[in-house]
Amino acid sequence: MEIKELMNLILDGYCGEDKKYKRIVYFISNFTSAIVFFIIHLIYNYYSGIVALMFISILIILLGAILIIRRRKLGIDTYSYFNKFMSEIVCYGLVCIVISSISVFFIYPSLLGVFIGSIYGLLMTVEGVLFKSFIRKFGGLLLIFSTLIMIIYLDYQFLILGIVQMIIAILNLLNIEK
Amino acid sequence: MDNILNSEVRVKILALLYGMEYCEYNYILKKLDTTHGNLWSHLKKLEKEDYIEINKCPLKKGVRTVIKITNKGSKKFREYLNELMELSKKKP
Repeated sequence: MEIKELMNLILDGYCGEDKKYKRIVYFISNFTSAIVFFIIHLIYNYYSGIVALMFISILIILLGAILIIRRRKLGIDTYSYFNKFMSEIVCYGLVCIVISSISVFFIYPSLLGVFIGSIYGLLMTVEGVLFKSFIRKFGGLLLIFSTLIMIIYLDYQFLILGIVQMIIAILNLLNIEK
Repeated sequence: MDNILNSEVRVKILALLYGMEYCEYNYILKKLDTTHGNLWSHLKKLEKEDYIEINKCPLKKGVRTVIKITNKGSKKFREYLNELMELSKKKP
């Protein structure tokens, strides 16, 4: 047995993941967040009944969370160290999104979607690099580059964010990767 | 070198588990491309020597077998890898 073969197996272990599980979870989370962004777009531009729409947004987030928890109860087949690191990175990333969203909201609210999109895109790209996933790398870059279009069409930033999230959700469902 | 690490399949199992918190039995079976009986016998040997832990969790449909490397297993594999590196350096 060659050392190279052994090293490849070690690396495989480090980036091992339950692809089926992740595909379903990513589809659910991207799909629900896309719908939430569409609703936020409607709130921003068309409706005055903000309370009702916010209630729907919370319901959709809850629905996504319940679906993910239900899927999680079935158990993840593979949990590598990169999974462990990524969970921690995502936690800090979410803290970053929340804090920067609050700051941006008070200083320049119209750039909120741009901030959320770029940080979320970065997190997705990092995960794509760690797990050698083309879809996540592509999705992350798509989110980052879409922020340029969001700056041009500021009124439609959440709509653009929602469309990009929906594209990523569909890509996850298509199962392009092996 | 350790006797338990004389087998190529056992070394490969430890190499795969080294970078993992845990994994399912079928994942190893798929990755190592070996037979069910062969893999199971090697896993049992590794478990007997306390290199790995095998846990069975009952599910609604069947049983889920989860395998995890122990601290002893990690340490022994690291030593084995270091020895292998030293040997490869000595090769002309």
